[in-house]
Amino acid sequence: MAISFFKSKTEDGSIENRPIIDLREVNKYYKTAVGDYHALEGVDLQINAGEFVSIIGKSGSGKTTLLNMITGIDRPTTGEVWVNGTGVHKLNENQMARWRGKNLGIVFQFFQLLPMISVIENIMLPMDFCRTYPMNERRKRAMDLLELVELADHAHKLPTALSGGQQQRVAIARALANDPPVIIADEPTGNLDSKTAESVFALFNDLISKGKTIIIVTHDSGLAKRTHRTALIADGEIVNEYVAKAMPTLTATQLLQATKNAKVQTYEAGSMILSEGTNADTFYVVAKGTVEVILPRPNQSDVIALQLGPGKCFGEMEFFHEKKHLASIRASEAGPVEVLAIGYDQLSELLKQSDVTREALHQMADKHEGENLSKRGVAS
Amino acid sequence: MELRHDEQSLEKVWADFWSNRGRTFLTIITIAVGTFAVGFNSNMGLYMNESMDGDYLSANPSEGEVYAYPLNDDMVKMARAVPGVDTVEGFSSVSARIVHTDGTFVDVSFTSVEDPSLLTLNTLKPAKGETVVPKYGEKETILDASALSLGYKPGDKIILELGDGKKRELTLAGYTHAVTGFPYNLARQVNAYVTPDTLEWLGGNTSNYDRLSISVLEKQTDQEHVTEVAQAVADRMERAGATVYFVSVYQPGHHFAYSITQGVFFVLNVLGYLTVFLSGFLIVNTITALMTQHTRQIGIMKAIGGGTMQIFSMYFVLILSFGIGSLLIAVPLANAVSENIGGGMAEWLNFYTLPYKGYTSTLIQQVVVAIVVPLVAAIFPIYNSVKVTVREALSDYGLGGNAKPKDDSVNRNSVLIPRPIRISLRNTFRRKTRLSITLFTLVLGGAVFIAVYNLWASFDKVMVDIQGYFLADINVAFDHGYRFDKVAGIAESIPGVESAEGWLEYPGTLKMGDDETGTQILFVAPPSTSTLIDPIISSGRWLQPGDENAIVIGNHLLQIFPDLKPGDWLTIEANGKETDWQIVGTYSITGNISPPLLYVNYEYLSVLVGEPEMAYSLRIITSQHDSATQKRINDQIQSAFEARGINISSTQLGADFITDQKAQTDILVYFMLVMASLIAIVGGLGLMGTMSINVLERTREIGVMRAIGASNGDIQAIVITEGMVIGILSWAISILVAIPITNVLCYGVGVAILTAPMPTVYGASGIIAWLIFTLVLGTLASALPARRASRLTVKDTLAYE
Repeated sequence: MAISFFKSKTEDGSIENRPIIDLREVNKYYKTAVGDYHALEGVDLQINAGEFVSIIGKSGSGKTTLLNMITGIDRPTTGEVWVNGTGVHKLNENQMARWRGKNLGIVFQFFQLLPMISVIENIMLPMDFCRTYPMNERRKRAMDLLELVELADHAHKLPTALSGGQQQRVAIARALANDPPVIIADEPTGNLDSKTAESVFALFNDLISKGKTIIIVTHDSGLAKRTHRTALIADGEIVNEYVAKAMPTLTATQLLQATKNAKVQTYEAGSMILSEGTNADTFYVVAKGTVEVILPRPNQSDVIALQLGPGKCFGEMEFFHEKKHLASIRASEAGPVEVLAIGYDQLSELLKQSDVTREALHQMADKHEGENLSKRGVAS
Repeated sequence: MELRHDEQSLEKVWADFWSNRGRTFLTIITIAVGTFAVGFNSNMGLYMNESMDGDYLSANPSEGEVYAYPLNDDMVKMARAVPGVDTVEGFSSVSARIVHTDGTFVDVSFTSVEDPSLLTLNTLKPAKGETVVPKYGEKETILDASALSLGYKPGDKIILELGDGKKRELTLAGYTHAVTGFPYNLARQVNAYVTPDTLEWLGGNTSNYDRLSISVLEKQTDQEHVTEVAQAVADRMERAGATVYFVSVYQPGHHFAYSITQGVFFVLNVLGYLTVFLSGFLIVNTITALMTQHTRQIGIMKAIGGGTMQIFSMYFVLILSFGIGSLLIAVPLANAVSENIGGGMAEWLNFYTLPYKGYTSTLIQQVVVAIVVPLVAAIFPIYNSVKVTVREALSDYGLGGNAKPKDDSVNRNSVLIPRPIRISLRNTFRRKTRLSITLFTLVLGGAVFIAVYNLWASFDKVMVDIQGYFLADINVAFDHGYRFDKVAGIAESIPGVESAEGWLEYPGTLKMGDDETGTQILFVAPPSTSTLIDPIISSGRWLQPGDENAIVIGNHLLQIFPDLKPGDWLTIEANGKETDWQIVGTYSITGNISPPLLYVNYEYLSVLVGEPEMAYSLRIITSQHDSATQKRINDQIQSAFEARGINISSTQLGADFITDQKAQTDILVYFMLVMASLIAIVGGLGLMGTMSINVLERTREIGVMRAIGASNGDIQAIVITEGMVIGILSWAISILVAIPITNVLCYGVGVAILTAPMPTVYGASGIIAWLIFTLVLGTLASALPARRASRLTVKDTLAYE
C-alpha cells in the first residue's frame, strides 16, 4: 500500500515521547437556567505523538466536551489546550478553522460527507480550503487516499450512493487530506456493523503504524482495550488510568473517588519505598516506572521476587491479613517511580461499595501471600 | 401532558414569534409589502377618483366647447334651444403674454367674467386655503392657482404684452381654482379672469363671444352623444352667421386627467396584485422553512401527546400573528403614502383632494392579503410538517438530504471551476421547488422592472416621433396670416437664424357620406420642400413638390373613419368652399390631438383659401440648437416682430418641447418604477428568505466545512455565490419574460393615455439597471444569511451532547 503521501513523524517510526496534545487544568462550565453545569473539571491530559488513545465514559460524562476542547470546537472556561505546539484556546473561530483544517482530521459518527459533491471532491475540499497542496496535485492525492481506504472505484459517486462503512472510510480519507498529525474520531464505529467497524479499526491501526496520533471517543470498551491508552471520564473528570487498571471492577464513580483519594508519591531510582516488618496503612498503585518486591533470604542476598509496572498494585496483602509489611518494596534501578497511595481507611470505604473488587483484591492478596511464602522457602 | 389551547400553547406561539425575531421580521415584511402594494393602489385609485370627480363635478363642468365667431347673446339663446342642450354660456377671451421679471414670457389667456359667482358652467372655486374667490375690479385679474409657481402674490403688478405689442399692467387680486381648465404646469398657459371692461382694455372684444361652453341634458359622459349635441349647436351657430372654427369634446363629464389616471391605476393595480401574488409564493417559502425548522419540535410535541389538529392550530395562530403584524404596518403606511402622493398628484393634475378618510373596501382587500393569503399559503406546508411521524421528525442525523442516490456519478470534467464555487452552483439547484419559486418571483419582478424601463424608452420614442412633426428650433404662431416674405425676412435678419419656413394652419370640415354637419379638421400646410417635418408614414407616401389636391391623413382621423386608405377621395369644406382631396398616404402620431390634423402642400392650400404667400406660423432653424441659444434668438425675434407691429400669439422652443412632454410622461413612469421596485423588493426578500432557509438547512454542512478548514470568507463566498447565481439566472430569464410584458404595457398604457398603442422599444438600459439591481440585491440578500452562516461554530452545528 502506498504511503509516500504521509510525512514521516519520526526518524525511526517509533512513538515520540513528547505530548502532542496537552490539556492543562481544563475546566468547562455551561450556564444553564438552574445554574452552572460543570462539564469538565480540572482535566489534565497528555497524549504523546503516535499514541492511539480512546476516551470512554457514560453518556453525559463529558467525553465529547473533552474532544471538543482538543479540536477547538469548544473552548475551555479556564485552563489551556495545546495541540501540536499551538495554544488552541487562544485562536478565534476563523483562525481555528484554518488551523483545524491543517492540523486535525475529524471523523464524525454520522460521516458528515457533503451530499452535493462527489466522493473525491469531498476529499479534495479540505485541500481547497487550506490550500495545502498545489491545485494540480490535489486530485492525485485524493485518489491515493481513496486507494488507501480501498474506495478508488467509487471516486466519482455521490456519497449517498455508498454504504455506511464506505462513507466512513471516505470520511477517514477526508480527515487525512491535509496530512494532519492528529486524527480525532467521535464514535467512528458507532453507526457501523461489527464487520465494517473492524475494517475501520484496522485502518486506524494502519495509520498509527504510519505515525499518526489518533484519539477516538467510544462507548465500546472492547474497542477501547485495543488502543494504547484509555482515558476514562466520569462526571467531567478524568479517572486515573492506573487506578482503573488496578481495580477494573470499580464503577466509574468509584474509580473517580479512588483517583481523588490517591496521593502521588515519587521515588528516586533504587530508593526504598517501604520496609518489611514496618506497620502498613497504605495501598499503592504504580503509575510510572517499575517497583521491585524484595524478599530477604537467610544467609543469602535479597531476592527480587516480583517487578510491578504501571497499573500494578501492592499493599493489598497487609490490608487483608497482618497489618505489617510482609516484604520490602523499592524503586527499580532503571528509573524514578511514581506511585499512587490510597490509605486503608479510604480503600476500606471503597471496597464496602464494591464486593467484586473486594473479592478480586482478596484473591490477589491470597495469591501474593502464597507466592511470598514459597519464595521464602516456607510451606504454606 | 395534554396540549390544549391554553396558556402553554399560546406561550409556545409567542416563543416561536419572538425567539427568532429576524425570521419573524422577514416574514412580516414579506406579507406587509404585498399588503401595502394593494392598499396603496386601491387607496390611490379611490381617493383620486373620488376627489377628482368631487372637485370637478362641483364646478358644474361643460361637456363640450364650440369655438366660433362672432357670437352674441341671441345666439346663446338659440344654442340653449338646441335639442339635448341643458345650458350654454358664452365667453370672450383674449390671449397675451406675461412679461416675467426675468424678461421671459408666459402665455396667458384672459376670459371675461363679470362676476364669478354668477357663472353657471365651469364655475370658479376658492384656491386652496381660501374661502372665497377674490373679488376683482378694473385693471385687476385673478389667476388659476396652478400658476402659483410663477411667484406672483396678491397685490403684485403683472406686466403684459398684448398681441399688438402694447404693454399693459394688471394688479393681481388673488388666485382661484379653475378645476375645469388645463393647469399651467401642463398647458404652459395661464388661465386668468378679468372684467369685460378690462378685457376690452386688453384688446379683447366683449360685444361678441368667441366660445360657447355647452352642457348636455343627459348622457353627460357619452362622447358620441355630447359630440352630436355640440355639433348641432355648431351647425346652428353657423346657420346664424358665425364662423365655426372647431368643436371640442374631450372626455365629457370627466376631469381631463381621468383617462390618464384610470390607465395608470389599472397598471398600478395589476402590479400591486402581482406583488401580492409573488408575496404569496414567498409566504409559502417562508412558512415551509419555518416548518422545516420546527420538524423536531413537532415530533417532540407529538411524542408527548400533541394531537395533529392541536399542533396544526398552534401554527395557524402563529401565521395569523404574522398577518396581524403585517396589517399593523401596511395599513397605516398605505394610508399615509396614498394621502400624500395622492395629494401631490392631484395638485399636479389641478384638482383638490377631499379630506382623507380611508376606505373600507381597501381595508377588506388588505385583510384578505395579510390574513387570508398567508393562512391559505400555509395550509400545505403546515399539513406536510404536522403529518410527519415522530420517528421521522426525530431521526435527523448526518448529511444525507437532497442528493438523490440515482445521481451516483457526477461530472468529472468540471475542473476549471473552483470547488467552493461548484458547491455554490450545486447548492443552487438542490431544492428545485424552492429555487423555482424564488426564480419566479425574481424573474417577474425583473421582467416588470425591465418592461417599465422599456415603457419609458417607448415614451421617449413617442416624443422623438412627435418631435419629427415639430423639427424647428423655434415655432412662432401669429394671430393671423402675414406675408411670408416679410416675416421670414425679419426673422432671417437676426444673427443665428439659418432659415425660416412659413406654414399655414387652416380649419375645415370633412364631409363624409350622409353626415351633413361633417367633421372638424385642421389643415396643416408646410411648404412642399419643407425640411422641418419628419413624419412617421404608416401607408402610402408623404407629400411631394407639385402635389396639388394630395392629402396625408393621420391615425386620429382613421379612428373616426377606419376604412380610409390611400387612393380614397375626401371632400373638405374650407373658407366656404368644398374641395376634393385624394389621400396619398397616412401618418401616425401618438397623443391626443383634436381636431384631426391633415397635411397638405402649402402652395396649393394657400391659393385655395385665398391667402397665397401668407404664413400663419413661422418655423425657424437656428445655427445652434441648444436651449439657451433658442431662448436668446426667440427673444430677439419677438422684439423684432413687435417693432414691426407683427402680433405673435405664441412661441414654442424645440428644446422645451421635449422637456415639457417628458415631464408629463416621466411622472407616470416614476410611479410604475416605484411599483416595479416594490416587486423587486419582494423578489429581494424572497431571495433573502431562500438563502436564509438554505443556510438554515445546511447548518450542519457548514459546520462540517468549518471542521475541515473553511474560513469565514470561504463560507460567506459559498453562500453569496449561490445568491448571485440565482440572481443572474433570474436576470437572464427576466430579459425574455420582459418582452411580452413590455408589449402589454405599451399597448395598455398607450391606449389609456395616448389613445393609441405606443411603439414598443426594447432598450438596454432596463436590462443593465436590473442587472445592477440584481447583483446588489443578490449580494445584499445573501450577505446577511452568509454572515450568519460564517458565525456558526462547529459546536453549534454539530453539537452531539
